[in-house]
Amino acid sequence: MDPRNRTGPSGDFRAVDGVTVRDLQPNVPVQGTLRSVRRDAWTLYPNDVIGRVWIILKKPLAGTALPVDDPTALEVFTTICPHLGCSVNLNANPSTGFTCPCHAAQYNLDGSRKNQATSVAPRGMDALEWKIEADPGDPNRQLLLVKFQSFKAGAAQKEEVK
Amino acid sequence: VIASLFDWFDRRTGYRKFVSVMLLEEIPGGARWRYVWGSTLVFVFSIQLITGILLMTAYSPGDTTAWASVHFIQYQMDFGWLIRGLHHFGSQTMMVLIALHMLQVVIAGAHLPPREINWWLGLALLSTTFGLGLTGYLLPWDQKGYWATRVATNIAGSTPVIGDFLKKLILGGPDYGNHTLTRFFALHVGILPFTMIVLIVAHLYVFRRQGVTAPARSEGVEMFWPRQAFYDMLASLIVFGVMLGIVIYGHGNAIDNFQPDNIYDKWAHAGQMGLGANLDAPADRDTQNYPARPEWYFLFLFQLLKYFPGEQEVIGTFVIPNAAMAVLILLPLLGYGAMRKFGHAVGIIVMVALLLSAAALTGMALAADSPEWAPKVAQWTGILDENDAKEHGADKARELAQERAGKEAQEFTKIVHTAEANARRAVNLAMAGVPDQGARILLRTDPLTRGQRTFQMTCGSCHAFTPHADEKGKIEDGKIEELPRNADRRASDLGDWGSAAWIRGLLDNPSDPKYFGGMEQLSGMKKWKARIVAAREKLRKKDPGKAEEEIQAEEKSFDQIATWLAEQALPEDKRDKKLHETAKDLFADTCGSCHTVGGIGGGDTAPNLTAYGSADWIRGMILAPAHKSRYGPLYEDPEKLKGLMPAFFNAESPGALQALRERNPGLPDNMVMQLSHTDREAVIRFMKRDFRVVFGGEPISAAPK
Repeated sequence: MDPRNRTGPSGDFRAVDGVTVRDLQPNVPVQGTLRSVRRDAWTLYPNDVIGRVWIILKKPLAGTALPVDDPTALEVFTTICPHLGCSVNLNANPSTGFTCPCHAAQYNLDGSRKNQATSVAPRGMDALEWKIEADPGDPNRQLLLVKFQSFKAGAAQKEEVK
Repeated sequence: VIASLFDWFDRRTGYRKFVSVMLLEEIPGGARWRYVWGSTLVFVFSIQLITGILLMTAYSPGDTTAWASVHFIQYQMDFGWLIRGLHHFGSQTMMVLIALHMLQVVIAGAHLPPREINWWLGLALLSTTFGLGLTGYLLPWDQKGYWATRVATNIAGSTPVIGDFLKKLILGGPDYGNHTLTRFFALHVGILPFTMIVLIVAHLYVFRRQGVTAPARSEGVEMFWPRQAFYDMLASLIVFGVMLGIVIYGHGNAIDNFQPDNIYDKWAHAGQMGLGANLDAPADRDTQNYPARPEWYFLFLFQLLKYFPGEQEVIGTFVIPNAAMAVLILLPLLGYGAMRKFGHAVGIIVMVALLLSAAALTGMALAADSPEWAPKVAQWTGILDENDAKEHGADKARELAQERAGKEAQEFTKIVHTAEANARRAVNLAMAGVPDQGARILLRTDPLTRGQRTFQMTCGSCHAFTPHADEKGKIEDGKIEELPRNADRRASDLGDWGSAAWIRGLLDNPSDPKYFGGMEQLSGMKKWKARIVAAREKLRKKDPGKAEEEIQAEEKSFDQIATWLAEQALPEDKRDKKLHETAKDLFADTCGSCHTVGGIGGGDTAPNLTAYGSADWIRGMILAPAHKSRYGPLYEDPEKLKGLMPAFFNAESPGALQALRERNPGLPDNMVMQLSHTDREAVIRFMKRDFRVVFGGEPISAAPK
């Protein structure tokens, strides 16, 4: 019965699928997926989706160079709502931010809660660590890597669930 | 003789005494219709046990198997739709009957002393029934159960002190998967039904000890048998009739092209006509957005959560529900001594108030999701956006809040529509069998939806796609969306690519934007056409009469070439042999100086058209557009690279990069894009209108045609 017998999603940095950083527009969030080997009790998934993320470019890119050394260039949020774990949607008008379809928690583009006093969400959307690195298999390609983590729902503090 | 057999049996078992104890219960005041609710509940619970055990014979709890086995029950097992339908709607029937039963009990004052313990047993039964409902709807492992359970388990996780532990315990780990299913399964078919049976026996035992609570002015005594027994049976029969009606009315997705062999086949597999309970798309964490809503009888709890901000969430998830339960537990204590009349009245008020609040919350939850009603709900609740209020004042903020509620509901309706379309698609795809990686693969590798979306996002940035008239529509309706030509989509329109008509059109006018008009680099066909036009002009000047004849003959030969070339996509034995004999020479003469088809023609400066139009040909184009068998020569001039097609390859596959470089000489790194094997195959099948699911692995396969 020991829940520790199961392992959750890997906490390593993973390349983001479905998003090309070079094509991002400033302040227009794009959703990407993260894949990893995933173990679910007795089943091993060699290459499964472990989560989805919203990626937001904060300012226009200078030329074709990717913001390797600028930690403020991008923001990456998990799509999992910090309220009760549904998947947060982008509003039809992207500049107005995000809304969760379950209990209507609303977030600004920077992930912070709208209407803090009355928002059902206990905290803003959970940001994830990211970095841009050369592809080990091909030094000429650069990859956006994100460290996927799950956090406890319903808590005011961001607390990782392992 | 029969009577003596019964005597023999009675001497050994004493069954007559047992039967008379069971049936000859005294009912003060006589049989009444309003006493039937308890019996109908036992009856429906028995149906749940029977159908539940039948379902267990075919259900397989597990991340990769649960949905597939439920799909099998629903659509392929004889009368599986009926068994599952009765079980599904049976649980909902129980919720309704419990509400009626409790209301009747409180109105009759049957919860007051000396019946407190039975009231408490009843409340325990209520909780167990909620537990069965909650654990039950996860088991199909469909999107609805998966996302609703994520919320439910996070609510359990918000329980003070033990929340984290509780959540881990029921999930069987930090994440949702195999052990979540096995645990919910154990709860649903073992622990909870066992608890339920023990509680029902105790409930009935205590009930028989106290007897029914007759109205104060009633007179006389009547036995349970026969009149009350008849009432109970008739009521149960009516309840069953209603359940059956709901099941047969049908809430599922029909399978396209269901053609039953005979009447038995038709009714045994009526799930394929959409009868029975709904089955949503397979659970998939890789879902862009899902309109998570719990089963209707939990909607009031769901709605309650919307009113407690952040930190106070626990009030909605824990405090209020438990407080309501505590009030219910305490109700009978108001019935001691002189308080009895007052306690009875309070009981009725509390019960009616709780049911009305639950109904109101349920109504609000439904209304908030309806574009028509959502603004009105926003108006009643009057919750304003603080920024709006600050900026525009309260009145304007109220208006904005209503407008926003309407928009949210519209957005919600859209997601619901998509989710329903996915469910329809998934249950249809699964008729060919579910891949061993699990049912979620069905939609992740479906050429019609996933392949089409991938085409839109990758190929669609340069290629237009005009669907045939009969397949044009929204992706949600199982149709193909049009990608019109625009300033960015300058490459050829692939909607009809590879067909005889497409090729014929190209031969007519390669400069049409539908073909190579938007691509400056693709000059070969244009030059060829210019030469044809010039030659015809010359002919006309020389001898107009003869010219028309020759031109017509040439056009006819183009017809033949187009038809023959389009057939290259077919397996050899399916091609027209007579056409081949004449067309191959026409092709060699007309196109052969640049193109080749399996050695016919022999030109190598333009794409090799061997197996043109086939999946293999497209695969070559996607993986190696710069190969000499495709558009290699165009990639030789670095000045002309801009606007040419990049190569799409699967970076995760070992050795892929090496192969890519070898196959695409001259291709710079910024013209290499990632595309997984399965996505590539899904795109190819989409273009070929072969909508079978792509099964991953090597070689990439599909269900047999």
